[in-house]
Amino acid sequence: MRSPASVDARCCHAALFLCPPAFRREFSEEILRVFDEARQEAQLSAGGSGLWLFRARMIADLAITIARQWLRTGWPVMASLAIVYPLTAASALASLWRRLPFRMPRATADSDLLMLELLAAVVLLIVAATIILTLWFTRPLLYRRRR
Amino acid sequence: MVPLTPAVMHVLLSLAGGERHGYAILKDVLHQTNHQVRLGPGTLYGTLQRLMESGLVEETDGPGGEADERRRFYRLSRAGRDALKAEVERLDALVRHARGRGIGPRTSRA
Repeated sequence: MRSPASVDARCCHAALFLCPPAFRREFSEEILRVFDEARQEAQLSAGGSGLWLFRARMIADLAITIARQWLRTGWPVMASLAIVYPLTAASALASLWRRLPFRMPRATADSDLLMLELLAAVVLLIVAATIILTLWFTRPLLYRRRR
Repeated sequence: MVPLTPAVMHVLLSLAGGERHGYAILKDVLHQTNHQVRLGPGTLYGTLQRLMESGLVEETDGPGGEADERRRFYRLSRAGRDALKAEVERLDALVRHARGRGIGPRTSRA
């Protein structure tokens, strides 16, 4: 029978919530078990000072794991692209717009048509982004099904 | 798949001795490196995840009669054994090359 969870184990459990969900679902129970066993051993072998050293090691290990796991999901790249791409595209379009001898149509019908085209372009972009993001984030599920 | 990272190398070496669960791998790595390398659980399971995705390690049911049946056991796959062998051969060639240049002991201490 396992002993009741220590404060350290509860902190570790909380830290694991910062990991990507797929990794957490797959390994959090095992990580907690190993953490608990390593903690008990550190306490038995070196007492209080050993426990503090153990805690420092675990904090470093979990911080590195969280960063690595998020990098593996591709989220940071996607987030960076989501920020950089629209800014670059908007600034490129703005500089192009300034060079073109284009004037907004004065007639209401032309103006409405232009708005409709812009709206269609935005909708198409949203649909494309949804498809790409869905494919990207269902990769772990597809991998698991293949296994 | 070569060169392997130190963590991957240690985990594969540990599993070369037979199937093990996570904590046994940690203890074995500690033992085989004379307490020089202490893997954390996060690093261990991140490494195992990568190794399973690349097909070098596979999960097993574990030996029967284990005290805690909820433990997950891992073992080397054939591809994992081949990758480990290739890495050991690479390191061996590197060590021989270094010794040829007068770096390190001429003979193995073992």
